Amino acid sequence: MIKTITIVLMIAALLALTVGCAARPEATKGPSSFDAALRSARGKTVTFYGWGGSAAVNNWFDNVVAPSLLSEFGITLRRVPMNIDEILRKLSTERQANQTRGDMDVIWINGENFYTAKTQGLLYGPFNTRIANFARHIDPAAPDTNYDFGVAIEGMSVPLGRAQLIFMADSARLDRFPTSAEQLLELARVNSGRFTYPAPPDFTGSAFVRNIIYEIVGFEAINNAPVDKAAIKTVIQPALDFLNQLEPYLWEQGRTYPADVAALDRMFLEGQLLWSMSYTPLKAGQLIAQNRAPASLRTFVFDEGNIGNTHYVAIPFNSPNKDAAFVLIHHLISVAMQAAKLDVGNWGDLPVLDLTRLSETERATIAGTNIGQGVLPMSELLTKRLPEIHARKVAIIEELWREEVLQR
Amino acid sequence: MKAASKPYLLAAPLVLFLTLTFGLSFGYEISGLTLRHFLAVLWNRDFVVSLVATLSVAAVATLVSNVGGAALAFAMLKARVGGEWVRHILQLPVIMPHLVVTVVVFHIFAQTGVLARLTWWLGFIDDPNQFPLMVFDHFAIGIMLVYLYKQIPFVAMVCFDSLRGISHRFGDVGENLGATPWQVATRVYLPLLKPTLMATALITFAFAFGAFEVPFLLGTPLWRTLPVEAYLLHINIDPDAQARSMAINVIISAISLGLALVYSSALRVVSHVRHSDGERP
Repeated sequence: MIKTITIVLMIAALLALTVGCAARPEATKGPSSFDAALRSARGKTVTFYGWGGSAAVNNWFDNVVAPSLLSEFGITLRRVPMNIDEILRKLSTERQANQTRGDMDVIWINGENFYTAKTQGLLYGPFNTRIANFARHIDPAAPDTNYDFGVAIEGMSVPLGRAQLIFMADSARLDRFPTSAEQLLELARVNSGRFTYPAPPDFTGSAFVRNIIYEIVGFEAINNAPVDKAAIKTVIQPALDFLNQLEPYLWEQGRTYPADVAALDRMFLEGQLLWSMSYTPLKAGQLIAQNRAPASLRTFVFDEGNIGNTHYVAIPFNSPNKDAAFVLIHHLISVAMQAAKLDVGNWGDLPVLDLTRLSETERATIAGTNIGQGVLPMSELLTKRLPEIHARKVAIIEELWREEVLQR
Repeated sequence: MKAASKPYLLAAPLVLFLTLTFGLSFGYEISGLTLRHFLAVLWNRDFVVSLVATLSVAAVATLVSNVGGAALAFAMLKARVGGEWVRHILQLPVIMPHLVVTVVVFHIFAQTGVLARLTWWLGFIDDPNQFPLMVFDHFAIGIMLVYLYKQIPFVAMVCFDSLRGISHRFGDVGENLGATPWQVATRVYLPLLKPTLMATALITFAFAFGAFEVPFLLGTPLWRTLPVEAYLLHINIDPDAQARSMAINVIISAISLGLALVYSSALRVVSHVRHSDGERP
């Protein structure tokens, strides 16, 4: 008897949990205007949720953004470090549980996570054009203002910074840098075992494979391909062939690959490899400043350009302080904060500002920022910048690489 | 009543976990009971490779560490060492966390590690790439080194205690009747040690089978053990991958549970035999 009751209760509890899925709570209202937000947000605490794995990034938030946000707008910043997948799971649960008043005001997001959050209705908006500095500083026609990894943004997020895949080599050890896929093959042939790349799904390794796809078949071809494994395989086959052609000249004859970019970096810094790569464009400056690499370290990209992506901030549907969220985002894309973020001593992340919209002094602020040694100037990075493709294709390409290159 | 419902309450999380695997989901909009995710996992080539690899790694680690550990215990008994300080030396690897051993193994055996530097200094190699790949390699040498370093002393300690508990008169009688030391070890002590070895084998196998951090940090990208595969699916934001990750977790638990059942019944048979004919006065 007790057994039956317990089982029935358990099933009932399970069902009760699933029923929650059906109802969709209405988002709480945002501020009526940006000026109203400025007024009502004063004295509040704004909660920022985002990846907390980088000391430099945390330092920028805690010691640059937080004090100036408090002194300029009277808002206290509370930063909660949490990985984006956990953030989305938490929001998703709150969505199902009809919790209209959550804990997060601003989240740090991009790519496939943005796609998931947007399609599951976890975000507040559209709101971006209502942020004063967005209207003032951001180019509305820029590709990354409108698309995040090929996903239409539609006002649901605001760009915070730009990253770009770069390659690094020591000019004292390598006199000619490979600035195309063909040159890479040639150099790898001459310096057998001295080149390799991290195995996807490592983020940087995955970007490198896409960069090779752009080199061999072009961005348009893969961008226009449907989200379908067979179709994508047909389109990228020449690039897969190229990677297989490169393979015997790689480290360990390409029988294996470094598991992540940290392993690649370590092998490069210990002299095992002739190059390394990073999705942090000013990485070389950081390595030289930390004395981990010689001053002869140089950054380079392919002549046809390297993949870049943009990372964004968004407001969850159940943010309790949308007014304060507006002001924080406004502050994050101010010239002062973007310049401080660019400083290699802080974070070394590229600004999202449209330089042509800035005043002479504002441009000078950006130009006067210390970006470190051995790096490429921002202008060159921006002209040799290729967009990301749709987030869903990224996973398919990673799978194809595994089947056609790694396991072949 | 409290006592009667307790097992069901304890089992509730497992039921919840299993239901999630079969598709009843609270977070994402995929629902309905389904075997789809299990089939997707089972039909995947990567999963089969991964399952075989995980079982092989665990089997080899178990075999080598139990044979090695038992041999070490015999040797200690024979040499009459086993005092306090020997036990402390054996305890050291046992209490060291796997993560620490993993880092140590990496720093010693990597292509730019201590051993590689030593061979370079001695003039055997002139480039780190010439040093054989012993971590991140296809044969799981690095992973195996961690398991063996941790498990051989563990097995040796347990077996040594067990051997000391067995009266040495059995051995003396054997020797008196003309048995060689090898025969004494294999015919007299080994059968008596069987229940102990079955227990240590179960523990070592279960650990090597379910361990995450060691293969995650020292494994090759070419094949991945099941726990690593489950983790990579878990951090994938695709809701379908979440369900597949859960399915792999259930499979790992099922295999571990199945092995535990097989072992416990085998153990019962072994100890029954021992009681019925071994220890009769």
